[in-house]
Amino acid sequence: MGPPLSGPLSRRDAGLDERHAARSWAGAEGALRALTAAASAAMVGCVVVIFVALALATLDGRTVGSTILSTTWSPALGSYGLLPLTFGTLVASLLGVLVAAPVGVLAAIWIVELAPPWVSGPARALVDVIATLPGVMFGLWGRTVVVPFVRDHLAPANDAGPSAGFGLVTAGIVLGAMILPTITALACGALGGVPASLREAAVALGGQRWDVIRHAVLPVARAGLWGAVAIGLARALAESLAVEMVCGSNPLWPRSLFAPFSTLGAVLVDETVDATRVDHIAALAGAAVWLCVLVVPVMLVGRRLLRPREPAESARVERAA
Amino acid sequence: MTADDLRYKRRRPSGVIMTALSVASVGALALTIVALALPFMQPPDLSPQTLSVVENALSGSAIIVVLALLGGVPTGVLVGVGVAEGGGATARLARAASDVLAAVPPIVVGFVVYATVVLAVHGGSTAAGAVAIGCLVAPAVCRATLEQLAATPASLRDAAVALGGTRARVVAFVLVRSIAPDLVRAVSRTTARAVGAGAPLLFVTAAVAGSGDVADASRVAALPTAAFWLASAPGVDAGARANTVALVLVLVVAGLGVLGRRRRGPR
Repeated sequence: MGPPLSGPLSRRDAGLDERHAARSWAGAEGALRALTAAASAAMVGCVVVIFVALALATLDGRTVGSTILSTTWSPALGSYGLLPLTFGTLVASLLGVLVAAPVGVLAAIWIVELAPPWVSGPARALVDVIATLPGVMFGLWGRTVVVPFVRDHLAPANDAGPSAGFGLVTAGIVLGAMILPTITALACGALGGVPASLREAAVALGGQRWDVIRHAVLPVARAGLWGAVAIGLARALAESLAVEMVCGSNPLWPRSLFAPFSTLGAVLVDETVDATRVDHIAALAGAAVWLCVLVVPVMLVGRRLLRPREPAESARVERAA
Repeated sequence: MTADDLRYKRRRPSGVIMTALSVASVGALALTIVALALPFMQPPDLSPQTLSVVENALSGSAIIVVLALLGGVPTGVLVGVGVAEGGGATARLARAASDVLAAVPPIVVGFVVYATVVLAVHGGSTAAGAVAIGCLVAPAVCRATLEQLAATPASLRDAAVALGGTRARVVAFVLVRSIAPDLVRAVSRTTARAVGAGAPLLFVTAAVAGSGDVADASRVAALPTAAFWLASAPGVDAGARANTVALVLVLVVAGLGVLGRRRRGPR
């Protein structure tokens, strides 16, 4: 609230005041423009610096290009094959998604569509909070709970021979547990965004509870559910600390699902500080670039699918449903 | 029996099966949450050495995250406002940059800060850690600003313009003010993620770059990196310390996450 007026302003005073205010706000508009432009430049600059630095570091290693497609990662031999690391990254992440995606989507359906309101609200809050827990905590859980379980029960039951408990199955379980709350929370958001009018119309047409979910809710929420799964996959691909703690850090082809392996993120964790040779740093930069190539498109597609629909598109989907 | 009755009878088992599957999935989710608490079932290690590690890591995380927020939040809000209000090629470029930066894996951000800052100055530092975390905070705040501005009713802006407000005035005193409570919650959620982000700090803070010595109070550690290094260190003591540090980390992150969820009435 401005200062109280001491008396009526004359027309001339009022005109001066307005002109003064207009000038000062024109200056403020210019300052706001400059600030937003500077902030935007900083954001673009960050992205440019990241990718230019990675590209320069990768190109710095003369021998990396010839060995990058080989199947051996051995800095001592000067061989930097990314294939076993890529295999480990993809298989561990896909195992995690295979576990977490169906469970997460079905759990979200129960929370949003079937649970009573006094359960649904707290359950969504709990899932949201669990989804923010850091990866290192899941790694710690994996090392103290999952690794002994796999070593003592799962590996012997599958005739996998002696296993220390570190391997693709362990990483898959840990990544699955890590992305399960993320997928559930995002799927809850996608299902909760379906207009109530659709459900009411389906019920009015005589639909049973699952008919309403199957024919009215899921078709509209389908893109959001795929988006939730894509973001879960991207989070699993990008995870480094949790996987490093349970993979066994063996950058070679894993002999079985219960044998130690490594991933692109884990090798960055393990070797970055110790890398002193130019070709080794270049190979690590190449691993970082390759990790970006795997993660960024999946994340962007996931975000795109989760974005709220435009009204026209939403109406089209509703008509189709 | 009519055709409708037959169709109803055929549909009913699939509904029962799907309900059972969804209940089982919620059970699996609940089991996972309970299993996550297993490492913390034992009483935490409260020895003076552990408390000194916790104190060092907690203060290190606080310093790094506050510095990152000081840089990242204004940058994110300004880019969000510029993209939402500006339009044109520059706004599209800034939005694309924000989206890509948000999608870059945290370990890659840490690697780049290590290669460009830490190696250049021959040592990790709190500032380098703040730069790495700031790269995660800014795009998250930008996205939150964009989402909140998009949800602001057009009538609010129209009314402010009709009252003679300039664009800067409308943005500063009407739009940003109207989204401020939601923005604060979004920043709280982003802070929770920033506190838990260990990968970008792994090589860039002074405590761990090169030495891995998180117990040395003269070096600044962070909660997630301290938990990681202690969990990787040999010995029962290190494991108990890692659990205690992780418990503090979980409590801080969950507390910030709960703060970020508290909602008020409709805007």
